[in-house]
Amino acid sequence: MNHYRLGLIGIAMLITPIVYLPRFFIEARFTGAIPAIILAAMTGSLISIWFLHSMKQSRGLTVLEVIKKQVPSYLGWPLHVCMSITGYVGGALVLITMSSVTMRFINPTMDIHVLLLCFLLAGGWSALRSSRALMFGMEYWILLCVPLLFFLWFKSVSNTMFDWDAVLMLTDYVKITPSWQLIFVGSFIFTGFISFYVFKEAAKWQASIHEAWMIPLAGVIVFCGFFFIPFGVHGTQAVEHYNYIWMNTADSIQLKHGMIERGVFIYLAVYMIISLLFISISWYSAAAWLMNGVLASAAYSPKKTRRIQQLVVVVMTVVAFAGGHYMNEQQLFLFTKYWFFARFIVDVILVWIVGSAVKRSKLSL
Amino acid sequence: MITIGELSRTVKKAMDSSDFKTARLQHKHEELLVYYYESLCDLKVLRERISAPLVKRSEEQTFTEVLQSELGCEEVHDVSEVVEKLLRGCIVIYVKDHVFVLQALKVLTDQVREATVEASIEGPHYCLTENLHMNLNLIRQRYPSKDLTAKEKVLGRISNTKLILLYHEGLVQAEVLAHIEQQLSRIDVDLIQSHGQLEALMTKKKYRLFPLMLNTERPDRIALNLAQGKVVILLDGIPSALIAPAVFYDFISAVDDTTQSFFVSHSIVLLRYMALLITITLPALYIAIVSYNPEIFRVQLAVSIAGSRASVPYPSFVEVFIMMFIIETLIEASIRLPKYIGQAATTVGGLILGQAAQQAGLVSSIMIIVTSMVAIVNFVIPINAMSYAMRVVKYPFILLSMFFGITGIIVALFCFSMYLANMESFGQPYFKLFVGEKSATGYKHKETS
Repeated sequence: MNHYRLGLIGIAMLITPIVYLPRFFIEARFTGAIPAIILAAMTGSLISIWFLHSMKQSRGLTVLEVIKKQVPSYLGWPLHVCMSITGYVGGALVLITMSSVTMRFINPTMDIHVLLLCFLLAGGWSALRSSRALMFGMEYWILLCVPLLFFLWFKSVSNTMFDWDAVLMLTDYVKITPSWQLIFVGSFIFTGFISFYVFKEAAKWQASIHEAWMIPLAGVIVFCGFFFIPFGVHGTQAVEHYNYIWMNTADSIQLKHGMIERGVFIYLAVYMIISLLFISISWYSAAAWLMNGVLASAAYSPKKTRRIQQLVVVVMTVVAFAGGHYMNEQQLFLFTKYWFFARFIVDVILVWIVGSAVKRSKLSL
Repeated sequence: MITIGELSRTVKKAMDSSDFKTARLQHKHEELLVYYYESLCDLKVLRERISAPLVKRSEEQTFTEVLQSELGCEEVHDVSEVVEKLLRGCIVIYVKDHVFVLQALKVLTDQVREATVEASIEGPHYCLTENLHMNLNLIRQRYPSKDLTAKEKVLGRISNTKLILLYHEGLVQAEVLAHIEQQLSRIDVDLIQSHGQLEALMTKKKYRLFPLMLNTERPDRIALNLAQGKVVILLDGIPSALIAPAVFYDFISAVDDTTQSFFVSHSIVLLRYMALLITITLPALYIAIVSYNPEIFRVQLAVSIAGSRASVPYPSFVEVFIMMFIIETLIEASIRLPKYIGQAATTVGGLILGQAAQQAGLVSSIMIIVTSMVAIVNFVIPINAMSYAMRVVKYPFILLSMFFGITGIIVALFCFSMYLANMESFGQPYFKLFVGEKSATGYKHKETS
């Protein structure tokens, strides 16, 4: 088992409350959220397992190397560009959301541009680190953040005011046909890591059967935590009144004897770190997709490649800043929804192309 | 064959020095000329190994034969080597067109003394000396392995400083050794005087914050690292060694961690990491709590901080800068000053820090606690170089918390960890969770993939 690959799978699951995923499902709580997640878990896990299986055939190569070797360039080129764009946009969306969350819950008097700048500088700078640095950083931050997150979940659920009836009431809405959109959104939990499969460290050891069953299991646990706990805290009706549902849920946690009394501060600290990790990893991988797609034919020196990478990050920073300036929260929410759809389609196409290319090359051997 | 004319032409420049001596020794038909630096050579050697044999030798034996049988005495065939040998503490003997050199360096710096920088309670107490050969002796005593290889090199155009590269053949990683040797061969300076200088010359990156090599004065730590397959660099005249490649964990561990039981030593290491976190974030947290988010901690704490700050006219960051300046100068002064004045300086400084600053309304009483806490926890870090680096690291944190509050601190922590993770020590990762180092003592964690 490769803990870097597990980390990448984990980071895509953990980022979900920042990209409004619980809110999408909470809004559809009476119109098929639960069947949607069951279907999403099935399709998402199947896609990821197919992907991991085709990667297993290639023996420790990253997805970029597999595409370079086995996919014709007229297919590979547009694929690279699409993956790169979804990667950059994903990072930028997380960044803008996190800045507005921070402004609302920690620094209400601060201008959002200042916070945007802070996150952009940190995210952009870390996206330019080496792949090894990102993997090591991810490893220890996840090991530090996940127990804290579980602790907060535990504190929420163990509260005497936690209303289990509200949670159990949702079982009444199991037999409803869900919308396709919700399945697309939900499958992100299970397939989110695919575009991150560009790290050499994460591809090094071959996937085993354990990772295959871990994806649906961990995904469902993460989803249940983020989806059901708000119902127990806010009730089935009030739960839709919040924009950042998990911030308000965490704000209801009181640590009576803790040094920090309000759970929301721990939650925010954990999520700032996870967001920064997500931003740097997705921007790093987006750069890798772009470099291998558009600039693969031109053999640049390492120094020049680095310059181009820096330039792309600077451009991306400016675009994200402009996005943060012009978009309001409603637009951001809508845009995130479209991003989920686009990402799902691109991921499916990628897995299909890679899967069939690997299969074909195996047959020709 | 070297004629007397050639020899005297070669040493002519040295003759201007007052400590350069020439002597003519004569006994019966034998006559020899002796050249040496009085300041470098041990005259006892001259007396016992040249004068005495000259007088005592039997008739049939020539003095050349006597010298040939002397240990540490060799014949020189190239006259250009003579000056260098003289400067290295040799006595040059000219006898019947033959030139011999006899090693007679007077060594005054090989006294083994107790470790002062890396003191330990239960571990061994003696540390390296300023003499290269004595150090090698100390290490070989602790590490009697036939695989322990020592390679001598000379660095510095003027200083000609001797350097010994030590490693365990078979355990050392070949690419690391090659990398280190390549970096050493690139060094081209006049003078090499310190480990810090050598480390800076060996690393390509000019702007660097953290030490990439471990600087230690303890032979037991050196032996441990040799067994872990690391390379040790000893420099003549310096009572400590450089170890490469180093990982972050090395700087946080002390040698006598292994003398305690498992839970004790691991708790102490954990304590050090906590101290590390406190020393870099506490002043920044003070600013963030006072100026941005007093509600993070309990209301009572917020009120008492506000109360203690009632008389302070400045914003919190000015307060922090005042106190940090005082404590940093105090630490610096107590290192540089002679012992007797140093005590006075710390007493006066302690008074300022203790009560006066607070009573004058310059800083709050909580800030005094923060300042002293930062200083104390910084001393917990066992390796001096790392503790210095951490003194600097807290300032970026202070700056970021000034501008962005608690968000700035979290972002700074993230960037700090990424900076460390991005570092490499001679091609090896520097800051990694599962280091995967060889456990030589059977004490560290087992290797993980």
